[in-house]
Amino acid sequence: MSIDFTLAGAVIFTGLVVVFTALVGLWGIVALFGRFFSAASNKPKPSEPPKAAPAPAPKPAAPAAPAAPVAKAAPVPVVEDGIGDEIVAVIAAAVEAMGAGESGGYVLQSIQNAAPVGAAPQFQQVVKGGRPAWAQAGLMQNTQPF
Amino acid sequence: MFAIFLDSVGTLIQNCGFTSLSFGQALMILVSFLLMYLAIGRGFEPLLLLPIAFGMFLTNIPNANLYHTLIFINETGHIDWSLLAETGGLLDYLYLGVKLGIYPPLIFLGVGCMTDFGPLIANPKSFLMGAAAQLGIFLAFFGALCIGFTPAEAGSIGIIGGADGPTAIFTTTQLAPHLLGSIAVAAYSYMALVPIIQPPIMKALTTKEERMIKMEQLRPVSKIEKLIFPVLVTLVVAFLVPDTTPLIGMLMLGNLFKESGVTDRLSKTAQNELMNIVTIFLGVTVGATANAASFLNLKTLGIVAMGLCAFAFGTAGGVLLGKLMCVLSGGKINPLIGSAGVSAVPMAARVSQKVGQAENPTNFLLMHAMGPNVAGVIGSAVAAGVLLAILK
Repeated sequence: MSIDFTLAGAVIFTGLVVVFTALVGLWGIVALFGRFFSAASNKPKPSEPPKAAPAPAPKPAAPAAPAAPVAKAAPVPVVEDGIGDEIVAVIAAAVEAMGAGESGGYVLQSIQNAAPVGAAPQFQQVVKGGRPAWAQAGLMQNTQPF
Repeated sequence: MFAIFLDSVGTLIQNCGFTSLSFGQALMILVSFLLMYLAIGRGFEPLLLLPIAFGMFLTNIPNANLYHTLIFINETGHIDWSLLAETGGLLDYLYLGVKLGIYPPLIFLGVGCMTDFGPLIANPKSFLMGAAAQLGIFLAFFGALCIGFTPAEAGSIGIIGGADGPTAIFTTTQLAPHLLGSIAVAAYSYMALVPIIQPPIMKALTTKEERMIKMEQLRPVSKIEKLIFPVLVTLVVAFLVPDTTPLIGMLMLGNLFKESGVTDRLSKTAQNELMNIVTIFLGVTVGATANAASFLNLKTLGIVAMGLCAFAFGTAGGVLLGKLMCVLSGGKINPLIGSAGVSAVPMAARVSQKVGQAENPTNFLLMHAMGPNVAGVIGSAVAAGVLLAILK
């Protein structure tokens, strides 16, 4: 049995060199493009702040925009005693969602119970008559044209 | 009429397997039963070991004529098409997919669809461990030369250390097709035995402190990186070692199917139906090459011994480079993940996780080990390309 040590050495040396060259090369390239993409994704985009701001910020920033509705909204709405802050926040958010930041939007001026004690007798009558406030509003909306 | 009956019975008895069974065939059938037991009873790589075992069983049934070695292994070194047309059996025709190098790349296509290269992209240093774990291939090559194998045979034996079945089969069909049965059985058996072979070597080469090292969480990898990666790897590896293009090309095509997100149907087909069909054909036909004449000899023992060395040296190479990287990184890399560089996806990565967690139950190395693990697949394909280029 005779071993061709030259061939064996050549195969082992070439094999290891080529395997390491290929994989080290891939390491380098993948690391490079990894850095490139990481940097690209971490870099604050120029359009980002104005873009990020509009979603939550236009509402607080609304004063600068269509002035009219927000200028009116700026005063704290009159809240009837007994209505909690959370209720006020929810109603304010609902009104905002209806387009308070836009021109022609809604302004929250006051919050009070639909049938407060001591309200006008005819109003109380309506409530007592069994037609809830929302039904009354619907009725008004549908019959107003006539 | 009675005479005709007696004649018929006589012919049947003459042709029946029980009367023409040789000692070698009987022994090979017993070996196939043992492999079936290992696959079914012990769960050793059953998806491949079971078809291989049954192919081995079928090919050793006397007079069944399912597979003819002479069609594929003869003086010309090419397929004997006329003999195939005259005497070809079922397994001869199916074996064409192995001989012509069709099945292994198709398996790689499915593997590519199932592989997430994210951990490797997130930590590209893992490529180095995948490269170091190929040391076993070349040391086993030298060992095989020393015990009397020809260079081409030694190359096929060495590639067992790549711990990658399709790569081993692809290389062996071109370098030493007469050893295909033994090499495939050895490769898949050792791959199944990775959880037994690797841990003692990993523990012997690392300290308790090293095994307890916790690694930083990997960065998230963007979709564009995952899309570029398969094209990039194909470009680099196939241009450097063209002989490995069928394997790397299919592996990366499969991965591109997966990552593109626009070829879900192709990806699902490649990783399920196609892969399962090819696995059946590949397993049965590779098993069929293991007939008594080619399997029951001293060469098989040499292959088994060198295959074990290849695995052991590959594991050691990966772990030792892991240790070096641990030192260079100031203790940020757990050297245990280096052992996963031998491929055997994902078993080797699971072994890294298990050994690491045995020392520190809060340690999670699996994702870190997947990097060297999939780098090992690329590394062994490159090594196979080198062996083919030099020894074919």
